[in-house]
Amino acid sequence: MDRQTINRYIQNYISEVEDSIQEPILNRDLGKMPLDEAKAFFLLLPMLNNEEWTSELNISAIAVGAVHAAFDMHDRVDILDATSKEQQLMVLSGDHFSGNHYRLLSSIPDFRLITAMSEMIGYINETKTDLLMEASDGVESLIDSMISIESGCIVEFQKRYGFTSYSKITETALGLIWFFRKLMKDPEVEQVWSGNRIKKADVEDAISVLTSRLQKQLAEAGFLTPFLRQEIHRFAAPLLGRPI
Amino acid sequence: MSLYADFRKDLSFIEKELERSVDSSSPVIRQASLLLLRAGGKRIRPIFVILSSKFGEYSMENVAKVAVSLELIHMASLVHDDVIDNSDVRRGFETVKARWNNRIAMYTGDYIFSRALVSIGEIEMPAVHQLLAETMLEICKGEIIQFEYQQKMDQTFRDYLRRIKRKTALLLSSSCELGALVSNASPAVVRKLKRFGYFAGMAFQIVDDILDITSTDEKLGKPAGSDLLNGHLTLPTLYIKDDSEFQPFLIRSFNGSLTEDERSRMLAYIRESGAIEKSQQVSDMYLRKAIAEVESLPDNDAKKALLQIADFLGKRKF
Repeated sequence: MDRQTINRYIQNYISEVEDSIQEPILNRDLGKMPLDEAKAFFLLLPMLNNEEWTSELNISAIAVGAVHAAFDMHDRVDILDATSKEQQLMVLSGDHFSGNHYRLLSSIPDFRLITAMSEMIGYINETKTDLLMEASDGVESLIDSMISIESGCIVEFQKRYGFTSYSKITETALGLIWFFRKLMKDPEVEQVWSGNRIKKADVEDAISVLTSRLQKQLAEAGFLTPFLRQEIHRFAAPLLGRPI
Repeated sequence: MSLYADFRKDLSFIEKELERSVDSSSPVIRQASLLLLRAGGKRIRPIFVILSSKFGEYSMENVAKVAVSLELIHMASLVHDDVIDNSDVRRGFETVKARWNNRIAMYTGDYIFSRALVSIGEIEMPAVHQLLAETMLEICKGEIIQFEYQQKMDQTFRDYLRRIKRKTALLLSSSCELGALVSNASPAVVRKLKRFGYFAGMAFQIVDDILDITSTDEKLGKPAGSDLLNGHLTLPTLYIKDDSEFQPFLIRSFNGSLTEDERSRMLAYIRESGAIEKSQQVSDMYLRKAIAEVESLPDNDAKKALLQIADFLGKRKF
């Protein structure tokens, strides 16, 4: 396994998600939905680490991608003014992606994952709402919230298919990536979270906590190939190994 | 509603299950969801599920899971529709987007939708899930297509019928089909109930579109003529869209320049044009077809109730 192969797997996966959720009018008016490569990497991590990856499992993984696309689309709806055609289509687009995740899981059919994923989607929406309406209750609570939002659905997928050994690293790395993007004022993150009251100091503390947590988890992750551990470093942040 | 009197116990159980389903740990989502539940609604989807289930092996537990799921999907779509339509009031209550904001409305809708799938997820019948998933996607596709037709004058009756099929009739048809499927009714009965739901749904939406013109702002809980104000041609307006006296109203409705006085005159003009009566005839035709499907079903209390509901749908004033 080399970086080129990993990238090819990620791009193939992203194409499969796009094909499964595409709708001609939405494609024409909104363009392709950019899918998060880091999330794709952590979702595919067991497969990249040579775990058995059945066609059923692949459909479930595409369904998780559809959920992420739905979240991303609904996060883009303007908090105050959604009257433009583009904004209105974003609402429908998210609903369409969400419906597709259910169609995919129903086609297997995986009832346990339908329920577990839906519980998690509900929880993520509750968490986002609370974060949007109330100041976070300290850095630990903020870390927990962001970890759930960023990695909750992937962790449910991992639980369902016996890949729980990957969950802690997935949670920490995806949480860290989000805090790093927040610190760097990534426009996509700012667009979603500009209205909330997350303090810069809390973001810096979270990065510090998650960086040392990830370093420890990677040191103990003997089940991962050394190359994948390096790749997790690459995805998780240029901050790793640097003083904060 | 006295129409549902014989099934009050079942409905009241479902009402409690609906409240339990959206008992969120998030104070804002809980408040928003309860606001929606308490705003009421006709609960026509749950009652169709209940009644259709009575033609098979009735299990309240399974019926409730399907009924709750369908009503929650309907509720979630209304929350998102209010963002799309920029509506501040629904059924006389402030909308979620008006009380909080668009983003909270998106999250609330998504939360409610997820609870719908949690509810139905406990039913391990592939056909049930595949039908519901396809129905949801078709409804969504219908809304996307509706955008293509927004403010378009060159629409046909077929375009309109296709739109209302996806907008309303499909979910009612699926409510009946799912109720019958979950109670293991025979394939012939499932088919008849599915068709009943479809025809009743078409009639229901046409009457809704008529009421948008003939009813009052107070009764509707929103301005009468909202469909036109939002750029949608409905059956009554399709009948007179080429009328030279009506066209200026139509153009001004679509470009947002219609005054309050003009809105009143436009509604009066449609009411007096004969378009309402013609639309009512189409609705009655669908109701006759719905009734014909039910009449061939085995005799029981549910059959009587379905016939009463079909009768009510044709005459309803709200």
